[in-house]
Amino acid sequence: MTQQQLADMAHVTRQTIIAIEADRYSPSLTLAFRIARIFDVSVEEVFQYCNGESDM
Amino acid sequence: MEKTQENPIRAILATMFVLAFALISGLSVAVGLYADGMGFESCKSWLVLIAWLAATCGLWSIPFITQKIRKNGEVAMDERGLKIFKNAAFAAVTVSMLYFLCVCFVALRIVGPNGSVSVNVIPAIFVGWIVIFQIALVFGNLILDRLG
Repeated sequence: MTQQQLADMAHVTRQTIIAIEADRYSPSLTLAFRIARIFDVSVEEVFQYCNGESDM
Repeated sequence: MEKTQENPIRAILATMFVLAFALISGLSVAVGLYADGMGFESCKSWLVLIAWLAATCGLWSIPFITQKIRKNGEVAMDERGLKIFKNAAFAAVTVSMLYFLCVCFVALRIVGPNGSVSVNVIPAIFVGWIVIFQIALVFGNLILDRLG
């Protein structure tokens, strides 16, 4: 799956997917669940919480 | 989860903003016409200001309009875009406050503590503020887009 395909399915821009992959942006809970649902896995399998992590 | 209470609130806020904009701009023109009589000259400065504000609102709404127009489902503005936009707007407001402080300081330096400044400079100051605000907003968006 390409970044553009994932972005289209998650209703976000490709730049957002790039930023999430590069750890430059923390998605909202809604988007996190949406992405997890696209891959048919749980949120914890896609995203991990790191202590002291902040977005933007 | 997808549907929240945010959308009705946003619609109400947008309506209030449009109403306030229409009311303030309409009243400005009415006051100008009442004070100086019918004619273009009497409300020229306000018309320029209103045209600029309308253009600003139009430019700001371009991402939302393109989002509505696009048929292929490609997203133009998402949650990250909105967040960047909000942060850039906050930065632009801060820059605006600094601008007005600078204007006050420059006026104080020019005319001194006992001097006075003509009210005729106010439209020029407002136009300057809009230019500064726009520049700060655009650069804020670009910088934040690079950062995250």
